[in-house]
Amino acid sequence: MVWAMARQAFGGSPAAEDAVQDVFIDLWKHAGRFDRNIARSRAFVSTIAKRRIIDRYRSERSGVKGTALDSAPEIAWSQPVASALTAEDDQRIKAAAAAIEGLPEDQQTAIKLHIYNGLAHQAIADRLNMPLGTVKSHLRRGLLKIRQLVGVLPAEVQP
Amino acid sequence: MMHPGLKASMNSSESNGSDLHSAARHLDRLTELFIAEQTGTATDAEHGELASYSGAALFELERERTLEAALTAVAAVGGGSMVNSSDGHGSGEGFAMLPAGLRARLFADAERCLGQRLPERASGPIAGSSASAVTPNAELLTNRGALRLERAEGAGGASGASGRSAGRRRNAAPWLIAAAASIAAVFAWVKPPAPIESDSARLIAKLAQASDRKLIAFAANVEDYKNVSGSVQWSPSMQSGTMTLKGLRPLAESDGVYQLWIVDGNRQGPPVDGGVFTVAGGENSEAVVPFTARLQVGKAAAFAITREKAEGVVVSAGPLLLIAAAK
Repeated sequence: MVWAMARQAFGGSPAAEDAVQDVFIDLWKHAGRFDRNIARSRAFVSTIAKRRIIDRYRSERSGVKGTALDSAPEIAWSQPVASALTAEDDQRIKAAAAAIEGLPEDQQTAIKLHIYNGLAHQAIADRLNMPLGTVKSHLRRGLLKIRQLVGVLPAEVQP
Repeated sequence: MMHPGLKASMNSSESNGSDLHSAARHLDRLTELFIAEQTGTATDAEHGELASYSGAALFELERERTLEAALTAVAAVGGGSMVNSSDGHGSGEGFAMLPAGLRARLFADAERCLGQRLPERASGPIAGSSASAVTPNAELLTNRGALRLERAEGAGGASGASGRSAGRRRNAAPWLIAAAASIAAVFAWVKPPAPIESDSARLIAKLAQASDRKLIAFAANVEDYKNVSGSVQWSPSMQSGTMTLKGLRPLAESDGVYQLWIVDGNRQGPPVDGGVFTVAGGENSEAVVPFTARLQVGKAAAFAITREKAEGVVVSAGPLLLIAAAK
């Protein structure tokens, strides 16, 4: 999941690997903050992953070099914040899953193959026996719907 | 340089309806462009248009909002493993693409952060770890030659925590469920899979490249299976295919197995045996099952799934639980 998320943001660039490493270091460091009564482990991981990947994305875009691992700035991981974030993220993931499941089957399959498998459009078109243009419009419409439901950044990462 | 229209709208000290309308229009357009960028469907003209917007604060915010939505979608579609890209479509491409150097870095970081060498790294697979929980795309039905690719909830692999200090275990026990899944998933990839797994994985990969494969959706034929969804991909040239099934109820050993049938439009007599299989996981688990026809199929008119006794049957008496009929 983390690798797929990093590839979504950075494609095949080395930054994807760096982002995955950032995420896992955060995960190791904050292992004790996870509370399964508040959110599933996947939500916990995806919360951290999104923060770190967006952090990395910003630094890549601004040309800022990554910080050393031990000195990497910590996200505000006080217990209440962490708890609120994971619960919130759990909801977001559910909303995204609902949005995806609510898409027509062809769109749903196309967007899963793209965002999760990272398949090229032509490969998706071949696999689904669809015209390339149809695959592209499925992807756009699908992501637009997901964005409408979940595309709001949490307060602590807004500029 | 900021797009002139957006800049004018944002800088207007006396916003009126027209300015707001203009800004909203530009933001809508920005959103469209970022979605095109995130889905990789942007044309050269759209990339150029995006460049004309750059520089605005809203530009970056909108870009991040779209990225965040895409990341959330990945998390929503993803399986239980924290590092594997179990895709539910049988390719296993994501995990296979995890670079070896990155795996080594993740191990090293884990050991450094946890303060001790991981037993998995030092001495082989995790003793007693739950394969279904930590390697969601690699559990095999070796006895029947069918590969079961399933999604497991990330909360299933607590046993993978063995070998770490008791203090850490108490402090981070819930977390270790996820951590163990990650480490073991990494390790599972490092260790060569069983030969039969490789064969099945190769079959899936080869099918993905077959130019003549067709996708047909399954539909429930009996009430009890109305919540099951999925499809079958069939390649006539390979005489093989894959089924992707979501919501199919796992069977207890005493309940037998599922069996796939291929209705050959060119063949008289009963359908062709596609093999037996079972699934594991919860109601929302997704299983990908590769199969090969036992007899040559001239024209695959339909695929059907029945439930049979443990070793399967030569001719089924039904009922047909799920049917995928070619149009």
